[in-house]
Amino acid sequence: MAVCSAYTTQSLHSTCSISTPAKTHLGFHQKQVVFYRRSSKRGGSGSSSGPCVITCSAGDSQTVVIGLAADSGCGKSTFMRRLTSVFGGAAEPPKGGNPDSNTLISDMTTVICLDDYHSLDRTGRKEKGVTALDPRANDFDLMYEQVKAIKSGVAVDKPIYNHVTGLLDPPELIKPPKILVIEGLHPMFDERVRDLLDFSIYLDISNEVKFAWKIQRDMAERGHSLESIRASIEARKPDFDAYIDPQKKYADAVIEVLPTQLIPDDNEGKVLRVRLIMKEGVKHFSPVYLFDEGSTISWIPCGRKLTCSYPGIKFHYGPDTYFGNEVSILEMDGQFDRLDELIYVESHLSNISTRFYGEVTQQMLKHADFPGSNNGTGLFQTIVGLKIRDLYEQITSSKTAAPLEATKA
Amino acid sequence: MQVMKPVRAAPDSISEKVEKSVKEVQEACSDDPVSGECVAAWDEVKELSAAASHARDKKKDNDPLENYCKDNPKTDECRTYDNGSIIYIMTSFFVFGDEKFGVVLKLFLSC
Repeated sequence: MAVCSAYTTQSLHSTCSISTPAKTHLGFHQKQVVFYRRSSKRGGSGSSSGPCVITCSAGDSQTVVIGLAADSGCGKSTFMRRLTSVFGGAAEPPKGGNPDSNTLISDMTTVICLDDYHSLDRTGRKEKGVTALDPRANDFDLMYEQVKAIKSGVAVDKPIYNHVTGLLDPPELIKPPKILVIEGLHPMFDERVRDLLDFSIYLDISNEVKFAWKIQRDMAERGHSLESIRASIEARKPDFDAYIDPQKKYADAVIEVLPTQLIPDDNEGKVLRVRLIMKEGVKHFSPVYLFDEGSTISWIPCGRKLTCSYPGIKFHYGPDTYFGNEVSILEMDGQFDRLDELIYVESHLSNISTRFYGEVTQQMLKHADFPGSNNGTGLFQTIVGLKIRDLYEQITSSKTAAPLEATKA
Repeated sequence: MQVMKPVRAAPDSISEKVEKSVKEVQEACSDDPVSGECVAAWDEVKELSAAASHARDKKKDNDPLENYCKDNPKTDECRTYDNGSIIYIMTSFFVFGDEKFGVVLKLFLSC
């Protein structure tokens, strides 16, 4: 079954040309026919439609779709940058498009922000008295249609929600990537969209940590006070608990960020206790474990072989149930001060899907300036990124295996 | 067909927007602190604060030379010359048990 998709690209000065069929790295023959049209107007501003690229690929070109539920704003979050970095290359906004676009594109991945599916812009929401968290402010039908289209290899014109102006801007073209990440408040809210996801993650920041982070971020801004920051979190809480929080139970992996237990009465939010809650029985996903899978382990790596500074590092691993699902929980409390602490911890973790020894440490060092690089948030985000890469490789290799089996039968 | 959009006298920078939105909250919440209007006003504050912080980060990252060279690597200012290679080694040693010796070596050659 061949799937043909046509997109228009930037205009190139050339005569007609047809390119030869190329074999992609996945082994599928992809016939690419490129038509160039000589511009009939000389030096004019005439908008010739430009060259049309029609790509026909034999076999499935299904995109792997990952859902990420996060409250921190789209595509610019640290998690996204770590995730795209695992696949290689830096993710950037589409070149030549709307400068306020929320989309990030790298070689392998495209990250789209679910805020783009707001049905009400900022003024509309103010009039109706609803927050962005409310499902009434979002067009789930369009979200489902477009994610389904991209997943089956069809490019879509996705609207843009401009966070600066609060308006809905003209749409941008999104071409199906190898990996599509949908990031936002409601990736798992709609059941149809949920079924399209190959893997889903929920980033659960506790209120104390949220408050501490917001203070550090927003206090510099004029107009904000401690009270206004606290009030803004509190005011959103009812909608958050009603619409966003329930998505936790559908997630394949939850990264829970809590205040540390190592320092009594800590309210700075610098040392964190992070729990990676991994659902059991998810296809193509094997949870990370410590020492002995399925058992309960408490581990303090600091001792004779490794010296850590205050407050140290504490690990915990064990099976549990989470909203009625069987899960394994890996927990880290504390922070890394030195490279050898990081590599020591990495060497004792199992099932982290690295390609070579030290890959987690290398990824963490590559982005040492990112927030969370010295604690469990960075560590678990990196590990989840590697698990997603592993999941992607399993899915694509199982697709190449299927046609072979069909010919054998 | 021409569509005329009314132009509001909007504040220029995002910081001013944030400040303005916090003031608007006072009005919206003065009647009823749990009304939809009040909550929507706080949501707007949150959204604008996030946009402001992203704008701050973007401004911090912007090195004009790097941005120019990303798009024009062949211009004189942006050419890089390969007089040798830069080797970046990250090593880490530690001992497993009594015998094993783990070494992590990363060689980074830039061309």
